[in-house]
Amino acid sequence: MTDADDDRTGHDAAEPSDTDGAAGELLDARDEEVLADLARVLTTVDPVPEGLADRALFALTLERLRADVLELEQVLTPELVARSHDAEREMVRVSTITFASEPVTVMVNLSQSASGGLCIDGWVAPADSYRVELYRPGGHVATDSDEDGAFVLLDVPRGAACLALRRSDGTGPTVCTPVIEL
Amino acid sequence: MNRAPEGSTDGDVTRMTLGDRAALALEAYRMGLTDPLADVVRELTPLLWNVVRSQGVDRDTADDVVQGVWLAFVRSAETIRDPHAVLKWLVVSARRAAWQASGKGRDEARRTAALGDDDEPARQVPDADPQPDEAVVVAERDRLLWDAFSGLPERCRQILRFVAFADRPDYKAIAEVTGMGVTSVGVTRGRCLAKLRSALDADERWGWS
Repeated sequence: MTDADDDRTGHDAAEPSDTDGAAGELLDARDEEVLADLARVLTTVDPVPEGLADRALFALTLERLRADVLELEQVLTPELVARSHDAEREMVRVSTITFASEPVTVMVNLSQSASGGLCIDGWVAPADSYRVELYRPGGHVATDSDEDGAFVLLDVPRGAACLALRRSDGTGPTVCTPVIEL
Repeated sequence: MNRAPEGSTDGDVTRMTLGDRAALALEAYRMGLTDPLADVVRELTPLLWNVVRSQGVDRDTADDVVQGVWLAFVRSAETIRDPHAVLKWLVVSARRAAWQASGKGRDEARRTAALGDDDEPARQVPDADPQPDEAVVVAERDRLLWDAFSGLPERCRQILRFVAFADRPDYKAIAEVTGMGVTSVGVTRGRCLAKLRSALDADERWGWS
């Protein structure tokens, strides 16, 4: 493709377009080329941080969960109380965490799984079967607890995450934990 | 492709722009469907990133700003009445948040520098227009383009940065937030493109493909 072919409609020759808005200027082939090249160079020079869209979507998921669920509160152990003033945004790094709200308590224990991710053993009270979902930037996984409220999530990547739970029979509220750093 | 003969409406699916799809995604989100919005977030995040960065915000702050814009967007979902204002809303919010962030960043840095707290590690006052890492531009052609782009006036750099990451029919919405009248936008865009092209034409090493 030669530029002579594509360059026929220069700026001056461009016809006003009813959909292009503004001054109705069309772009010619060289404009398109230079803009495409510029987008590519900017992407190289100043790339969008990896995972930014995923982190934004995770923030939106948390927002949505918060909007229509009952939020579990972390049951603080004494050494964590001192850090609790900013608990909502703060991420804590511990191996066993308990969350509680009026109808539901959930305890999770984190351990290294053989494949390098984390194994999450959890237990929900009162005993019942629950749908358990784990949200994190870039995806979510779900599992069902047994009738005693015990569940396992295998090979969860490290990083920020939160858990949302509801009774498998659909009764009662959905509850979710604050964001924790796995 | 056929164009709709009878006055094509804004909702014409065959000519749907990113802005239109963002509007539909917001409608879907209001009804509890989140997937369309997820697609739009992925697609529009690079544009918002460039909007924020072109306002002189450092990369870490820009990361937070872009996430904050999306959060503000869903929080405002009920109040954005005109679905066709969605893209404009996003870009205006990004620009405003970037102003606030960069202004705050500079103020904080100035205060810290003035206090000269010995216990604090020395902080760099953020550059008003931080240059991205130019060293990564290796290919000569890209280097020529980058140099020509870097030599443009700031306004041109901002506009071209928007335009390079936007669907064409969305220019109008984007241009509205550059502070110019709608009618002068196309002209200014054309002028900036012409400047860039003539800078490239003036360089004998540059060749059009």
